[in-house]
Amino acid sequence: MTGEHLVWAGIALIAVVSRLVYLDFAPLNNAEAATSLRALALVQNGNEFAGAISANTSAINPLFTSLQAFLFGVFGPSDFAARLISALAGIVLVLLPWLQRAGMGRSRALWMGLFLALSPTLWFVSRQADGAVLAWMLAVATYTAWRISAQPSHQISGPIIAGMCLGLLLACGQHAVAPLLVVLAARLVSPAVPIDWRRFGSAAAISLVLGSTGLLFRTTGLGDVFNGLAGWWQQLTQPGPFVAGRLLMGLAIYEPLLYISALIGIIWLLVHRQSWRGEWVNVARIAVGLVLLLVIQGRQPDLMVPIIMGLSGFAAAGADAVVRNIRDHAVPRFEGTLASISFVLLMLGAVAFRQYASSADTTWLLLIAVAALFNLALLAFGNLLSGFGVGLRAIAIAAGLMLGLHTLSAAIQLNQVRPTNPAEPYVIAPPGEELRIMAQTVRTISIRAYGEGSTLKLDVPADTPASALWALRTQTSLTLRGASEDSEAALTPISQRPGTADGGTADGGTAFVGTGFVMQRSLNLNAVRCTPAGERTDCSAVARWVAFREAGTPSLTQWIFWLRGDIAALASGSR
Amino acid sequence: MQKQISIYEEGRAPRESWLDRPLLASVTWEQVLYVAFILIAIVSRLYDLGVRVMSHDESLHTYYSYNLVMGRGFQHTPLMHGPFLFHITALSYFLFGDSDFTARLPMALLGILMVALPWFFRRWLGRSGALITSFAFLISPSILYHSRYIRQEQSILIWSLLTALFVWRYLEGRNWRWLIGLTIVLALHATDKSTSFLNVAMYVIFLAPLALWELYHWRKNRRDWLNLIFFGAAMAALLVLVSALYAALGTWLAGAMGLKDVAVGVNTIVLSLDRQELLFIGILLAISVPLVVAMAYLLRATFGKWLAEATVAAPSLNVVLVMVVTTLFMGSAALLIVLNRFWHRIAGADLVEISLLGSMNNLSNNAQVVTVMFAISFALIAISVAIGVVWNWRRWAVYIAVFIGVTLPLFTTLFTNGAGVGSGYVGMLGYWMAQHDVMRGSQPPYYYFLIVPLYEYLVVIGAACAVTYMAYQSFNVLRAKPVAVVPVTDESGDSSTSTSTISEPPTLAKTYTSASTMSRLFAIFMVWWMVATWAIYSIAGEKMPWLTVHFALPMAMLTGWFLQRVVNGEVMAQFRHREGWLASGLSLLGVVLIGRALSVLGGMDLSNGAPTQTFGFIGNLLVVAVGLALVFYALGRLVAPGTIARLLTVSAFAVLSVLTIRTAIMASYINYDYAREFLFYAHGAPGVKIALDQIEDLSKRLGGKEPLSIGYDSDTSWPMSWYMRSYPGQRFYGEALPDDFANMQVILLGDGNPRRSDNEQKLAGQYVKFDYMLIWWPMQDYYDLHKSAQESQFGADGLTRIRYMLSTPRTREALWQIILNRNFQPYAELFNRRDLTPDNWSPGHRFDLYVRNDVATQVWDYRVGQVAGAPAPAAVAPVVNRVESPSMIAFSPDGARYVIDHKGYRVFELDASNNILRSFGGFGGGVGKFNDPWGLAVANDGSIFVADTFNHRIQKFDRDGNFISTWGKPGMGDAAGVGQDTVFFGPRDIKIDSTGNFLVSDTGNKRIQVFDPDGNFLAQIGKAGAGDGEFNEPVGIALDAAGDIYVADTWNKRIQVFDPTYKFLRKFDVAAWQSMDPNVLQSVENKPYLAINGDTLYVSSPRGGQVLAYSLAGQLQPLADVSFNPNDWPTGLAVRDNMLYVTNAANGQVSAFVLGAAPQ
Repeated sequence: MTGEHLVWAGIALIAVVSRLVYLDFAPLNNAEAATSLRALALVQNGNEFAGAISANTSAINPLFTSLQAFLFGVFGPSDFAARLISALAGIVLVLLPWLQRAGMGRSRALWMGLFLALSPTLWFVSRQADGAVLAWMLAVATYTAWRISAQPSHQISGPIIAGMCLGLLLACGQHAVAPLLVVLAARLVSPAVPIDWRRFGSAAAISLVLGSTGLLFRTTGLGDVFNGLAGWWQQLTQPGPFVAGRLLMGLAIYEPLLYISALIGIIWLLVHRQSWRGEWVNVARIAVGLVLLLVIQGRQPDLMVPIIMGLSGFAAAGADAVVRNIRDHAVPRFEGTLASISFVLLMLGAVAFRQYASSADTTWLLLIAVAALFNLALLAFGNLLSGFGVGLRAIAIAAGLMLGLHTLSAAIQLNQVRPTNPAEPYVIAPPGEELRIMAQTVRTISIRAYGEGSTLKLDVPADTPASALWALRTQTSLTLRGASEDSEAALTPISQRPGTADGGTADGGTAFVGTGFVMQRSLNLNAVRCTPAGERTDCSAVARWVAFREAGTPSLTQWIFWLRGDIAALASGSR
Repeated sequence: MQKQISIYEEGRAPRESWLDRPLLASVTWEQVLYVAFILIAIVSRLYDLGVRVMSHDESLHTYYSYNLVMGRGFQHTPLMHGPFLFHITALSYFLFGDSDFTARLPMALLGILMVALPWFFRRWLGRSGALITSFAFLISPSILYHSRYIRQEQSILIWSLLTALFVWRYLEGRNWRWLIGLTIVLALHATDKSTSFLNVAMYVIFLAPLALWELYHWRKNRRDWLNLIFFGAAMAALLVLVSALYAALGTWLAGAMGLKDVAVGVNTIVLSLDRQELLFIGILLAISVPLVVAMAYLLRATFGKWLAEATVAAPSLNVVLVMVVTTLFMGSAALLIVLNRFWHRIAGADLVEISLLGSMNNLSNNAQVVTVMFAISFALIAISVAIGVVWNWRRWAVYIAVFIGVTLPLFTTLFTNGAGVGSGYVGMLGYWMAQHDVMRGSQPPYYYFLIVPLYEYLVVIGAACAVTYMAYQSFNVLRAKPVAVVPVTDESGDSSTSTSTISEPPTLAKTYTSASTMSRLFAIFMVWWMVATWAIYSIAGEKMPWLTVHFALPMAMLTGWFLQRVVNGEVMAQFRHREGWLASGLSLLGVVLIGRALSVLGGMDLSNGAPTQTFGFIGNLLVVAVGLALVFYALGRLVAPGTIARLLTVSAFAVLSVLTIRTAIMASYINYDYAREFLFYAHGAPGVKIALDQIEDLSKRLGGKEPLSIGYDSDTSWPMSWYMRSYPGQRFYGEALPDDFANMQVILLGDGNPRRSDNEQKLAGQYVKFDYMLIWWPMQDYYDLHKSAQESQFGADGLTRIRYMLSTPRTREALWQIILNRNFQPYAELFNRRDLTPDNWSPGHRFDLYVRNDVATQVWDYRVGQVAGAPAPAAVAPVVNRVESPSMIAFSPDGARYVIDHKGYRVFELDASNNILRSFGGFGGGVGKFNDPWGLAVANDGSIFVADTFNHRIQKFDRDGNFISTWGKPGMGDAAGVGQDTVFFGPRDIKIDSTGNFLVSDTGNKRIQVFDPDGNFLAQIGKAGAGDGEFNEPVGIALDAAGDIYVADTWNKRIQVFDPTYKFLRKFDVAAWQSMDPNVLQSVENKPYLAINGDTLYVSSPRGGQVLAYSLAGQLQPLADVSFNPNDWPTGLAVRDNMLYVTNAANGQVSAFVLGAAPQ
């Protein structure tokens, strides 16, 4: 075992911990739930709503659906199992630069792995029960396998692995198209690699068939692939919940470490006139990613993956260059002192910013300016006293540490601490944690009334949010007929109640008692803006959002769980 | 210098990368064990870290850290020690979010680091010694618990260890980088807790004589001694003179500039930066420059040459100087107290009021103190500068810059809190010196001598062995000569000296002759460290359980040092052959047998002379003795005698380690929320998190547009300020409920709220109530052992109490159960202490969670609670509400009825409808307070007599419940006494005869005592035994019309009758008691009472759920109409107007039965 192995082990540990810890902390959102219900329908044919969904819709991502169904079959339909495939794909994605060490250099590959592991965006998309990250991982794997085919030791295995990855990527149906476009663009800008097309094609075809049909258990999967490929084009015109600005805002706020490091990397490459031969793939990833982000109307956060990949490539170059420069030229005592002072000043700026965000007192902004000015003075002082580069290196160390802390904090807050915070740019209309309380309530009442937790006859309308249906997935007596007078229990939007013919709020059906549950929260981030306040402009709302990810009061979508009086009496212990 | 090669530079061979460096090529077992310890530390420190409820102090720390991260700033206050904890906790919140887990995470990580640190002490402790020390840190109950606790203790342990490391590495190698490290650690310690001053004092006191010793051995120049003494004296004189000068100058200048006083000047500079005040402080500082120059010149002229040579010869002097010049100026408060005492002797009055040091945050209110303190501070700064300039100004500048560079950003929270300069550099020590007299916690002076061995017995024994070992080995360190000149070796192994411009010249670099000399010196230092810790913390006014970690640290290191010497090659060689393993196993068995022998001896009681018990004990001892003999015989055949001793020592420590692990697990993972651990203080009870779960549940279930509206009062504000932080609808309402309280869906109300009863009345009927324990403290029966009987709240001196506790197997067993298992039940049963059961723990503090009725209706699970103020369940007969466990009812001649509630410690007066008119009492040992009162009687004049059972006394009250007098004190025996000299042990009943004399059943002393109406002793009836006229647990007393006295002789299962002259008349068995299980019969609830109506004697049998009727001659009578449920405990009896009143101690009721015609 060498030092390199140890560092890769550390990166793998970060990837595993970040992708798997608290994976089921937040309930599945509507998109995740719809995907998971399709997989659930494959393993639970008797489940009415699962059956209804499977009858009406085809799998968007047949490979993912098959894998999810397999996990549900083995481990049961839990939130954790629903997201596990994505998480594992996310871990593999982080480790893929290991295979590219020969091409990009070992230390740079390490840096890239570290950036990918820490990226809040990748961290986030890897924890969604959605097949997109699987497709992106397969796309990067295809490209990587194709690249290593050039090595003599991989001339046979390389094409086969690349073909397998491509076949599996195609089996991802609708999710395969965008990654394919990025792979093609990367292939076009990269140096040509001779490849055994026969092995490649065979492996791709076999993988496609087996992957899409779930090892031939579900033959309609192959059709779903083509449906999915065709359906992708609808996303170009059908708007989704995310606007490009929101996702770019996410990039801006989560990934400063990445894009600042990438900028340093690009400048370093330009200044030192390094060969760009291996860098165009990063350019292609960023460019195609940005184009797709702007063009596709039904965009999702996973479209940020190619941009993150491309930026990571450049950021790795930047970090590698800075570290080498420090190692080769730095005077530890002097630059360490400067870096410590710079770090304290940056911390002062950060504390002042949070104070401003909390109090809206603009005098704190002066302190930020003072901290910035002192840092500039430090830069000048270092450079004047000991030569060009000294101040820069010191500030780079301090800023790198600060940005590292920021990135870690942003990633953990987004994914582990408050994953249902609607003020996060990547999180739209997240389901309430109350969904689980509702499911638990239904189960408790069922046990009290009937002895079993899944036998309460619960009526829900056909347009019930998928996240609620997923939360109630263990209820075997659930129907999609909607609330009626003879319902024992029902779930309705807040404006309706059971017991009346028209579903209105008339006095009929007073025997029902109801409790409200929040289905989802949503927040309009347009509220995060500077507003005129007299002669000044008040930007504390922006600061508050940046510092604490808070942006006013979210609007709630509430549904009511109704219980008929006699069942309520039973549930209360009266018999 | 050769240019470094980059692999990006083509045409040059790349150098070997660290990426290729092999990692596992030379792994040793030692490294594997360290890794294993660290892994166990990770698990033990992080497992379930967030599950424990925040204690009072923890909630303060975590809440203000949360404020900091939320942009609300942080204002340092010495009350909560230094700012380091708050900043590092805020960083944890920033990274990982705010929760109980992340609040404790930084200290837990430092706890893991601590287990690794002994690796760096191998050179002095030995490899095995360091490993054992690491293990001791790993399993130490107090260290483990406090590494999972958001307080400063864990970080202080790290600073203490690093201080020792850096000091000794410097002494050994004289590389100045260690002094830089030392300065950083001193700075971090100073910003963490005021213990930094104790730490510095401890080192200076040790190192100054060491410096003398070094000087003596270096130069044999006795003038060094004189110089050092003169140098110290000169510093002291300068200090006084310069302080006085600054005080005078400051006051004069403030007057001249029109400022109110110096305090205003200082206060405003840190708060408002007013120009005039700035000028004031500027002038004051400007005056310092010539003063410093003058002092430096003076010192240089007098001591300069000597100091330059002395610091080269004596490395310890360098360390002392680093410590002095960096921290001296923060010690103004200590000097102020010295000056104050000095002044008091001269002028007969204090210079300043020392208690004002406790509120240094508000400087302008403490003008006098601030004037003097800042004068002293300026003087200290000036002296520090002067010493630094004379010593080595370049080094001094670096140390000061490092020290200020670390402390200033932290004290001022990165320059956002200017007041932190005053509160940090001056106020920290001042506040805690003022607290010395406050003696927060009121712990006795011997506190640590009880609590440290209770948890840290392993290292206490280890340290004691180490000290004994040192004495035995006739320590000869003083004969060692640290004079050999060897080159300094830096960390990289390069034998050339450091390239630093301010490092020692190579010709002057010295080190000690050998590693063993350093090891011995270090051992002496560890002993000093331990002794100083015991002395300092025992003298300090505030004694708290978390400070035990400071005791554990040096003792753990001493244990490692000692065992290193025991576990030598001789012992390790045993494990290389089969006989060695056998010998090790036998030695372990030997230790276990010795433990068993002690256990048998501890349970020995030959006092009652029962032959079976005597033979049992002797038999047990014989078996153990034979076993031990066999073990030692076998050991003697297997290994040499010296090795036996070593094996036995190792085995003993192995057994103690297992017990220590058990103790640690109990404290940190089992009892972590319970007050049964003495390691806890003002600890949150588990009910807090249950209530919080309910609130969280309600918040999610209600799910309305508006957030859940929650109110909490001043009494529950800690820890609720922390726990309510994320509820947008939370509201602090102080003491009285606001007018719009009905808008609150959930209300928290503490029992310490002065407006509690008003609040309760408002909430009655509208809210569902859940009752929980909020915070509790450990049992405090160990208090007052150093006080006389008159001063002690327990009414007996410490020696008597200890003697009593150790006198019988039963008391020893009760004590042992507390020590070993933290099981208070036997102790509580022995002394009938209801305040030691979890439901009624004292000292403790409860609170109620109120849920509004409409909310509870929506969330139907919640209607299981009792509706506040609603009637109690249907009663058998007249009901007394709010009486928890009535033990006796009595009537006054005018018909007033009184009920005594022994669990509630109160006497209630009821009206004819059984409504409560008034009550008096309450728990405690003071006058008018009760501890488990059982007996009650009312005299003809309306005076009320209460048998205050476990205060072992009788108290007398007037008709309205006002205290009149008390007599009696606790004691075992049958001596007669008058007034306070009267000895009782658990008096249970009291009856007044026709002449006004009263009889008391002195239950524990197995007798009835008779007193005249003034409380003078008249006679004693009976003594311990089973014969006629002898008692075993006499409880209830009754008197018939003829004046004959009936006594429930409970454990003899009979009633005994005496005539009015106290002569035995007759006895008759109580069949219901004869057949009762002995454990039930002797249970604390089964205390039978008697009442007589005409010719019928009524006898209660509480655990039998019966009231029995006997003729006065002892014939059982039918009593069909008086019946109880099996779970009822009919206890106290009274007859009036042909009604039998029975108190039911199980359900808080009093039942009344119409007797009709007395049975024939």
